[in-house]
Amino acid sequence: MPATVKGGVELRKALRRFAPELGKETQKEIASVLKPVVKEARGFVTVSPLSNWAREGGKFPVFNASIVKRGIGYKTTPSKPNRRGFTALAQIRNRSAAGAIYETAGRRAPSTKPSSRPNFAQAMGELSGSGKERGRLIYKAWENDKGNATKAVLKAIDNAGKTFNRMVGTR
Amino acid sequence: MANVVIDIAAEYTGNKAFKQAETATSKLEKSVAKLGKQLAGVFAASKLYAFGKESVKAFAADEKAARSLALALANTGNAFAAIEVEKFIGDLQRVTGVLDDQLRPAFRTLLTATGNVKKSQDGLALALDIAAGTGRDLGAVSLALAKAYGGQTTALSRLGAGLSKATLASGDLDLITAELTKKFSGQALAAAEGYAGSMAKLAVASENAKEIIGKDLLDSMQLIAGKDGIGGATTAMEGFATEVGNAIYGVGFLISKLRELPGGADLLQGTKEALSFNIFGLFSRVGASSKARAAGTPAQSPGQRKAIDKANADALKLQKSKNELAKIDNANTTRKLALTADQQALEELKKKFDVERIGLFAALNQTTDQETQMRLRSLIAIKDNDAALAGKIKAELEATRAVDFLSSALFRLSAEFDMERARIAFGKAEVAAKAATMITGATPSQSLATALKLYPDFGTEMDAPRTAAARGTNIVYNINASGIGDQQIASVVQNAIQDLNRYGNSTTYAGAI
Repeated sequence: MPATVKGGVELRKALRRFAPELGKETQKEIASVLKPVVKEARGFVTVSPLSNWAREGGKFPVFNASIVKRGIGYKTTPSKPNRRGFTALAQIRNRSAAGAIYETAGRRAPSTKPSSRPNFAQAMGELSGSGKERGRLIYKAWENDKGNATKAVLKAIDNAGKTFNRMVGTR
Repeated sequence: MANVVIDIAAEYTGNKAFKQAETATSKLEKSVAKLGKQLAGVFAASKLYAFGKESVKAFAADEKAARSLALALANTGNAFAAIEVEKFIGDLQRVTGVLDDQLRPAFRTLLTATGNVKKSQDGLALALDIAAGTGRDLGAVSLALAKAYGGQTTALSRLGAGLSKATLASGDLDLITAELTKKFSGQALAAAEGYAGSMAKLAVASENAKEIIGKDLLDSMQLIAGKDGIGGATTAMEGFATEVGNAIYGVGFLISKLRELPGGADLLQGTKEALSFNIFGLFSRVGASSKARAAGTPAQSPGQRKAIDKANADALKLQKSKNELAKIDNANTTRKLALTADQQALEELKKKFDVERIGLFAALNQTTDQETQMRLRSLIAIKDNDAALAGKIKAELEATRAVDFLSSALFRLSAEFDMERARIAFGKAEVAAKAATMITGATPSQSLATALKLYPDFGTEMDAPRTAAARGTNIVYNINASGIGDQQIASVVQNAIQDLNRYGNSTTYAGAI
C-alpha cells in the first residue's frame, strides 16, 4: 500500500502554472531518488532465466534482456486515477511483457491455483517482498531500498509545497 | 498491455462513478436551494405583508383610542388639556411599560367618572399600582376606581386589594385612595424595573414602532393611491408589500452570492454597511424630509440647521475675504501700469542723451551703403533693446546675403556653362579628327559615332597630349603670338624672371657664375 498524500496533485498543477521552475526542480529531485532503484532493478535482469524462453516463435512473449531493461523506468508526473480512484504522484514501472512475466511469475493470481506453473516460476528464482507487492525486478529493488525512496519523494513534495507557499505568501 | 508499477505517494482523487454521483448530488442541492430560496422569498413577502397589516391595524387602533380620549376630554370641558394628557400617557407608558392602548381607555373611564384631569391622572397612577400589585387587568381596576368615584365600591372590593369593609362602607374616596396608595404605592415602578418590566418596555417600544410604521405606511399608501385616497390603497399596499418582499429577496440573493466570492465575508460586511448607511439612510432622510415638508416644518433638525447656518456664514466670510483680495490685486495692477508708463517716459528721455546712440544715428545718416546701414540699424536696435526691430533687420540681412549668393551662383553657372559649351565643341572636333585617323575610310559622322563610343567623356581634349607623353614622344607647343608686340613679350619674360628671383628660384644651373 503506497503512502497517501493530500493535495499533491493540486500542488503539481499549481507548480506547473505559477512556479514552473520549482516544478521542474521537484521532478528532478524525485527522479534523482528513483534512478538508483531503477538501476538496481535493471541489474537483476539476467540473460534469460530459462534457456528456451529467448527463442523466437509462438505467442508467448520472448525474453530479450535489453527490451526488459528498457522497459524498467520511472515516472515523476501524476498518473491517471486507478479503479479505486487513487492517483500516484510518482511510479516505478516495468512495462515490457516479458519483464512483467519475469517480475510476477509465481504470484498467486486471483481465481487461479496457488501454484500454477510451478516449474516455470521456480526456475526464475524466489520472489522478493510481501503480499501483492512481490516481484523479482522492481519489487526486489524496492524491497532492498527499504522505503528510503518513498521518504525522499514525500520529502521532496513536502519541500516543494512549503517553498511554493512561501513564494506565494500564504503562510 | 503488461504494466507492473509501484505507486509512490498516491492521492485519492476520486473516480468517475464518484464524480458522477457528486455532480448529481450537487445538482440536487442546487435545485433544493433554489426551491428553498423561492419559498423563503414567498414567506418573506407574506411576512412583510402581515407586518404591514399589523402596523396599520395598530396605528388605526391607537388613533381611534386617541380620538376617543380627545373627544372625552372635549366633552368634559378639558379639551385644552389634550396635549398634556397625551404627554402624560406617553411618559407613563415609557416608565411603567404599559401600552397606551390600555392607558388611554383607563384614563378615559376615570375622566368620564371624575370629570377632572388631575384626579384622573392620580387615579390612573393608582390604578397602575393596584394592577401591578394585584395582577389584575388595568381596565378592570380603572373601571372599579371609576365606579368608586361614583359611589359604588363593590367592584373595588372584588379586586382583592385588601380594603377593609369599614373603609369601603364609609364611601369616603379620599380614605379609600389613601389606603390603596399606602398598600400599593410604587408597585407599578417596581414591576417596570425587573426583567418582566424590561420586556414590557420592549413590547411598548415594538408596539410604538408598529404604530409609527403603520402611520407612515398609511401615509405612503395615500401617496401611492393618489386622488382615490386610502379607500383604494388596499391593492396598492399588497403590491407594495410584494415589491418590498422582492427587493428584500434580491438583497438576500446578492448577499448569498457575495458570500461565495473569495474574501466574500469582508465584502459582505462592507456591502451591509454601505446599504445600511447609504440606501436605507438615504430613504430614511428622504422620508423624513418629505414628511417635514408635508407638515410645513423645517426639513432639518436643529443640529443640522445650526451646521448649515455655520457653513453659510463661513462661505459668506470666505467670499468677503476673496473680494478684499481682488480689490487689493486690482489696485496693485493699476499702480504697476502707472509705474510702467513713467519708466517708459524716463527711458525715452535717457535715449535722447545717449552719446553712443547719437553717434550711431550720425553714422547711419552719413552711410550710403545699404548693408552698412542695416548693420548700424541693428546696433541701434540692440542698444534700444528692441528685439522686434533687431529680428527684422537680421531677417533683411539674411535675405540680402541669400540674394547675393544666388546671383553669384547664377553668374558662375552661366560662365561655366559657356566654358563647357566651348570645351564640348572643341572636344567634339578633336574626337572627330582622332576617330578619322583611327578608322580609315569612315565618314565623318561614322567617325564621330565611333569616337563617342571610344571617348564617352567630353572634355577629353587633353587625351592626345597625354597619349603622346605615354608614348615618350616630344610635345611641341605652337604658340600663336600674332597680334602681340615684342615689348609685351619682353615685359612678360621680365616679370617672370623677377618673380622667380623673388621666390628664390634660380634661373641658372647649379654651379654657374
